[in-house]
Order: sequence, then structure tokens, then C-alpha cells
Amino acid sequence: MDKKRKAVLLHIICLILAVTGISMLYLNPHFGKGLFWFNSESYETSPGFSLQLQTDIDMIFDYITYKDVFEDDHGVVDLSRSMVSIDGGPSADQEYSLESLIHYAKNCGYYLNDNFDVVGEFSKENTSADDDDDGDDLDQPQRINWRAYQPDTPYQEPGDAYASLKQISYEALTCLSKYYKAYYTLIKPETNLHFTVSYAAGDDTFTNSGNMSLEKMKTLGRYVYYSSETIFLDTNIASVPDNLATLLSQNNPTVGEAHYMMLAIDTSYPYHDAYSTASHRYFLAQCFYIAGMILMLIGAAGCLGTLVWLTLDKQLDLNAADQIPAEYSIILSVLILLVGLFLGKHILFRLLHLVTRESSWTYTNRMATALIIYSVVILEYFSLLKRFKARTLWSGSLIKHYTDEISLYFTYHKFTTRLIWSYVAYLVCNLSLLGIIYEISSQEPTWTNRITVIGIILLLILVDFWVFHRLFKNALQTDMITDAVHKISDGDTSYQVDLSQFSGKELALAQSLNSISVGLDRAIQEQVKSERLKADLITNVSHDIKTPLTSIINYVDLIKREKIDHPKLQEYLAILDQKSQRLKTLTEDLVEASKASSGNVQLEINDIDFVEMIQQTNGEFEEKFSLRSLEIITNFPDESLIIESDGRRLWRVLENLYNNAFKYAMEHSRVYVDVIHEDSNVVFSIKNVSDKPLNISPDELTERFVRGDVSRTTEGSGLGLSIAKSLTTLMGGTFTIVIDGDLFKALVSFPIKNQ
Amino acid sequence: MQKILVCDDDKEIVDAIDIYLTGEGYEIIKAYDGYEALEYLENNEADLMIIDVMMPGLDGIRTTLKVRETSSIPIIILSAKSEDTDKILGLNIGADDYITKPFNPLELVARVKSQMRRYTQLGNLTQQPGGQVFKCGGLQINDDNKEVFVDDELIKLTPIEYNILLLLVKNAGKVFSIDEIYEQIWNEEAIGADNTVAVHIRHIREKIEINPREPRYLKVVWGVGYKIEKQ
Repeated sequence: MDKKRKAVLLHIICLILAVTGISMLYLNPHFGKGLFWFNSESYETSPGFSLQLQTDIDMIFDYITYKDVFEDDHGVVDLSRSMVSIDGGPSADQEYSLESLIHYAKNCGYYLNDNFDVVGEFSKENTSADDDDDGDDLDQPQRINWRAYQPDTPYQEPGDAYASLKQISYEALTCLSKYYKAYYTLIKPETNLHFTVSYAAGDDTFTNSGNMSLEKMKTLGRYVYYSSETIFLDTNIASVPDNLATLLSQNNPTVGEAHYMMLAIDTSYPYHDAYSTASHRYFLAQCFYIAGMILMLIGAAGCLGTLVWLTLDKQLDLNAADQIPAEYSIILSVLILLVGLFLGKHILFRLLHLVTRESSWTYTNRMATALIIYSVVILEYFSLLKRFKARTLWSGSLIKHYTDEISLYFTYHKFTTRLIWSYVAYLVCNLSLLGIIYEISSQEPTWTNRITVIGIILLLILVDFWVFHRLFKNALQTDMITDAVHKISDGDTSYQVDLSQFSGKELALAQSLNSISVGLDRAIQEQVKSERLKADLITNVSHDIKTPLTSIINYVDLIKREKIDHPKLQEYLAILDQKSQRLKTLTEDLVEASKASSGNVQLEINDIDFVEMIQQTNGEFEEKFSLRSLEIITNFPDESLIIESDGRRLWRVLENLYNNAFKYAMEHSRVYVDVIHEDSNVVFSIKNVSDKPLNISPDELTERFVRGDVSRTTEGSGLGLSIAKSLTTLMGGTFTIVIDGDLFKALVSFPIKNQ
Repeated sequence: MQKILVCDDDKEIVDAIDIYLTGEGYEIIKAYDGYEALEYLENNEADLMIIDVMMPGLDGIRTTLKVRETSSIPIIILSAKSEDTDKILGLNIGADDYITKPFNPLELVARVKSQMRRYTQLGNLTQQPGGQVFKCGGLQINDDNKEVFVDDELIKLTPIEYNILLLLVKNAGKVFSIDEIYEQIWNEEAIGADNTVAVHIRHIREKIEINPREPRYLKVVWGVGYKIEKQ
């Protein structure tokens, strides 16, 4: 048996314990009393005790009443005593003794049983019914002169003085029954109740406890002392019967004389009587109450514990019933519950009634109903719990199914369609709710109407808030997407949107955005990688070219030293020399260009005075330019313009631009070099008039291996402007080339460092 | 006769160097990889070594490291690798000069001579007391008779060039901007920008440097000014 089964079994056991406990509490006479009751109440202060005391006091006075009627001087019932005197009318009055009355009563079917109860029911109708049969005049109502058992009762109605013999005998028997009961309950046996009633200053005393003194009685436990001499009731019993004083004075034969009554109950209950039994029963009930409470607590704790354990249990065994949607399962449970309650009412209750007392049927019914509800609810709870653990509670539910379908419908529609539909639904919802509110408000303002209106207003607020929430969420998602688009367009191509924040159509949008950024990022990475590979390849190849080139250059030089006089050979040698030198420049520029364009350059950024830089550059190029009769016209501000840049790389940029001007400017022309402070930038420009027509676009000029002349005969590698542009961009500047007819203009701009 | 060990796996380059340096009166020992060079140096003496970097077997860098364990002869690295990082590595591990291929034969000869002088002769000069003599590596200025020597060779400078060089050598390591130099030499305030100073500097560089594009002494700090490297 696995743990789960054990837990279920334990749960059932605990449930039984709890039910037993609750039953013990509920069926207990003390049901409904709190725990403090144990401390504050004992049997002697309980209502049961008061009731018993009342009965016993009544009985004492019965005894006092009938003692003199039935007893002779020796305390024995005198059967021969005459009880009733009947007016004989014309004939003599007739007296009936107790014996004869009992005898007559027996003939009429009245007698005393073992408990001294009168058997047989007397009614006047009965007597008159069988009047005519025997014509016995004894059954006829006759005038009573006196009744020994009712010595002082005055006749109040005319009929009171008349009674049939049957009635009289019944009355006598009833009185005798009372006497016997009192006698055999209180006087004859030893009881826990001790009493002394004394009239006529102690001449007429009734007692069952000999000459027990008041002090002795007070030590017994509970006592009552009532004396005609004081108006106080000396007692330690909480609820002394109200009619005690009345009864006492009623039975006083000598009006006005001192009398008293003392009564005590021995709370150690040495004798077996009604008190001891009731006390014992009271004690048992208390025990059962506590036991019931403990059982209930244990059972409830056990139920709760096993429930929690079963709830937290990870093990799952889904059956076919757990595959149906949760909503169906709930509806099914409700149906089962209804059927169960119906069957319970018509079958189970009756079966239970066979084995339970009638007094507890209501309780049994209730308990059975509760158990049926409990079992169905708990089964459904675990069924739902299993779904929850298997993560199918939501995913397998009908609501999810339908919302999915609706959202699917919306997802495949445009944003506008969706907006229109949502707005229409929102409007319809709001208007209908407002309409209902108006309708109800115009009716009488009853409580139900008010509550309904408040409920609908709350619903309206809820709906509108939900709509706001949706709108807000949508806006939030739109913001996030906008943010992501900005980030990606700003160059953070690896940026990914957090998809967990999205739903519906926005989710699809976010996913697309993510895949765009992934694709873009990958493309850029690959481009960077391939650029680096290219740069590496070019570097390696250039190394391999340089070694043979070294030999070529050196041996050309060696040949030149041989002082060859042959003019043609001289010419050839010059060409060889020139071309090998150009090859050298080409390989060097090639490496630099590929490095600059792939960004594979370590920059050493320093503060550089751009004006000083231009002065230095001009100094370097002045003589070179004069070779082609080019005049440098400079124009720059007096102030220092500090930029952050790598001096050597910037020199390379300027060198390339100056060289470019030197190579391609028309001879005897001017080269204009300007440095302008423009906003927060320093703009350097170099302008020259081209020797040859520039039928090429500025963009193409900065491409690698492109020169103004396509023939490629002039000096240079065609990489100069490309290198200059790449390096400028790397250092954070901008590089622009403008061509206007034969005017060539290069613009280099850098941001000025903030002082 | 001074012996120069030339080590390169390319036989033609070794031969070419042989021709140039023999013409200058040096004796050349040829080696075609690092092991050969080390083997020669173990048993014989050489006054200078020219070594290629990329060679089969033991490459130039490791050979230089090995040589430096026992010898302090001048070593010139001659390599096709022209990256800054390559040059820095070569100079850091103990080489005295770094020439990139393809090289100018005249420059090679000049550099070899320079290293030879420093190794063989200049050692004594440092002990010479001089009243107004300023020295900076191979550069020496005698202010008494206004003579300038580079690696013991007399250089002819114009008075302005001399004054600029003297200013820079006196304050070796300090960078002077064009305006500062102008004010110091011409003794008047620099008004407006002018390339006069830059042109003079270029002329000085052409006179005192072996390769003016890669100056050893008078360095251009682009966008800041000029300085003489403290040595």
C-alpha cells in the first residue's frame, strides 16, 4: 500500500473520529456550552439539580399534607380511616374508609403499580357513558360533605361539591400515590436529601433525618434554611424554588406560629438516589463532552493534516476523469451532489433512522447531509488539484479554450479591426449597464434595488478598470516594442525583447522583432568576422609578397650600381625601379586599408590641437607642393581647437589628403586649406582643381582601389581616400568628398573637446 | 675587419646584403636559419647581427633571445612584418634596431654603420668631459664651436636649425609647440599661424635622421608639437 492510500485511509479514519466527536458534543445535554462552563458549573448549580430540588420540595409538602391524612399515630397507613363522607340526602350520611375506596377503585380499574403511579385514566365522560347499564347509583354524582384529603379546600364552583364515588376513589388513590411516592422516596430509604419542617414552634415536625441540627446540615454540602422569624433565606443553593415560602405557609396548620424549614443535600452522595444518579450522569456527560471535543479536535487536525499532505503530494496518477475540462468536472460534481442529496434524503436517512433514536434524527440527517457534501466537495477538490498539478487546470479548461479561440480570431485580424470590435463591445457593455442602472433607479428605491444598483456600478467600475488595464498593458507593450526598435536602430542589434511581458498580437510582433534583431545581429557579426578574416588574409599575403619584392628592389638597385651606359637599359631599369617601389607602397596601403575598414586598429586617443596639426602638416608638404608649383592657401582661426584623436592616424588622414592634392591637382594652381570652427565641430577642408576630368561620384572615390582616372597609370594605390575615410570614421569624425566640376573638395570634421 | 652575421632564409636577400656590406668593408658571415646563426656564434665572434623574423626552424625572435643570453652585440631585425606591435616586440626582446622589408639598401647600410659606431667607438665618448656639450643618444651638440655630431659624424645646420635643435636637446623629452619654438628662437611673439617652424624642423630631421619618416631623435608629436626623445 503506497503512501497516498495510507493518507486517504488516515483521512477517512480522522473523519470518522471528527464525526464521532461532533456527535458526542452535539448529542450531549451540555451542547452549546463553552469550555469555561466546566469551571463555573457543577451539578449542584445546574438546572437539572434545581429541577430535582423543586420536585423533591413538592414531594416533601405532599408528604406533609398527606401524612396526617393517611397515617395513624405510629406512622403506619391506616386503611380503616374514613376518607369521605357523602351526603345521603334523605337517608343517613355515608362514610367511606380508605380501604373501601381502594377496593372500589380496583373495581373501576384503578390501582397503584410498583412505582406508586396511578394506573388508569379517569374522565367524567367515561363515567357517564356506562351509567345506564347497571343503574348503580354509586356512579352518580353525589354531594360530598367532606374529604379527608382536602380538608381546607373550599368549593369554588357549584359542581365541586358533587362527585361520583368513582371519582372520589380515583382522587383518594391519587393522593395515596403521592403520599407513597414521597414516603418511599424521601422518608423510608436513606437519601442524600435531609429535611426538617417544623410547625407550631416545634410541636409539629416533619423530618427524614432525625434530630439533625442546622449546623450539621450546613456541613453536608447544599442547604436551605427558611424560618418564619427572618425574612432572609439562608442558603447556598443558587436556584431555590420560588414557591418554597408559599408551600411552607400553606401547609402550616397553626397560622401565625413560628415555623421553619431546613433542607440539605449531602453532596458526597453516600446513598443511591435521584441525586447521586443525576450527579453521576452529569459527570459522565461532562466526560463525554470533553472526550467529544478532543476527538473532534484530533479528527479535524488529522483531516486537515492529511488534506494538506495530499495537496502538497507531488505524485500524480491521472485517470480518464481527469482529462475532461475542469468546468465539466465541476458541473458533474454538482449533479452528483444533487443526486447524492436526493438519495440520502429518501434512502440513507431512513436507513439511519433504523439505528438511531428519534430524538437525534434531525442531527443524524444533518450529519449525513454534511458528509455527502463533504465527500463530493473533497473529491472535486482533488480532481481540480490534480489538474492544477498536471498544469492542465487552466490549459485544459473550457474558458481557456474559448478565450484562445477568441484571441486567435483577434490575432489574425488587423489592429484596427481589433480596436473597432473591442470598442464596440466596450460601448455596448457600458451602455447596457448604464441603462440597467437608469431603469432600476427610476423604480421605487427599495433595498434590493439599491443593492442591485450598487452592484451594477461596481461591475461597471470593474469592467472599465479591466478595459483600462488592457489598454495600459497594450500601451506598455507598444512602448517596449518602440524602445526595442529604437535600440536596434541605434546599433544595439543584439537587443532582445522580453517576451514574457507580451500577449496576443503584440506577442507575435515582439517575436518578429526579436527574430529581426537576431538576424541582423548575426549578419553584422558575420560581416565583422569576414572583414577580419579578409584583413588577416591581406596581411599574410602582403608578408609573402614583401619577401620577393625585397629581392627585386635590391637587385634592381644592384644593377643600377653596375653603371650601365646603355641608354635603353637605363630606361628599363628606371621603370623596374619605379614599379617595384609602387608595388611596395601598394602592399603597405593594402594592409592599412583593410585594417582601417575592419576597425582592426588600436587607437591612441590624445588631446590634439587641430590648428597646430595643420601647421605641422603644411610644413611637411610645403616643399613637396612647390615641386608641382602648387601654392597652399591656408585659412585658420587664431584660437586652439582641441579635439580628441590619435595623432599619428590623423596625420595619416591629412597626409593622404595632401598627397591626393599633390598628385591630382592641376600644376600651377592653388590648394586651399581651411579650418573652420563650426558649432561644436572643427571642419577641415582641402580644395584643389583637378588636372583631369572627375567623371566619378564622390562615394566611389572612397571605395577601395578607385581612382579618378580609370587607367591606373599614375603613382599611388587608389587606397588613400578609402584609408582616410575609414580612419576618420574610426576616430569619431566624418569624412565627406564633394566634387563640383573639376573642383575636388574633401571635408574632415571632428567634434571639439569640451573644455 | 668587422664581422657581420646575416641570417635570413631567403638566400637572395642574404646575397644582396652581402654585396652592399662587403662594399662598405665589412666581412659577412651567412646563415640561413636561427640554428646556423647560434651555432656560428657559439664558436666564433661577430660584431653585429642582421636577422630575419620569419624563418623555418628557430625564428628571429627566439634566436635574438638566445643570443642575448650570452652576447651584447648589436642586433638589427630585418622583417617583412611592419606592424607597430611587431616592431615593439622585436625591440623589447633585445634587438637594437628594426628595419622592415622591402628595405632601402642605403638605409640599411647607414643603420649598420650607426650601430657599429655606437658599439665600438661611442663607448669612450661618454666619458669625455665637455664644457658645453649636450648629448642625446647618438646625437651630440658642442655649443662652444656650434658643431653637431650624429653617431660621430659632423652635420651641417643653419643657425636657426641649430638653435631649434639646441633648444630641443637642452630640454630633451619636453614637447614644444610651434608657437613656443617661434617665440624662443625668433624672440618675438608668434602672430598668426605659420609653417616656418614646421619647415625648419623637417629640414633638421632630414639632416640628422637616417630615415626622416621614422625619426629616432627629433620626433613629431602630431597636433601638439616637437620633441627630442630623451635617451
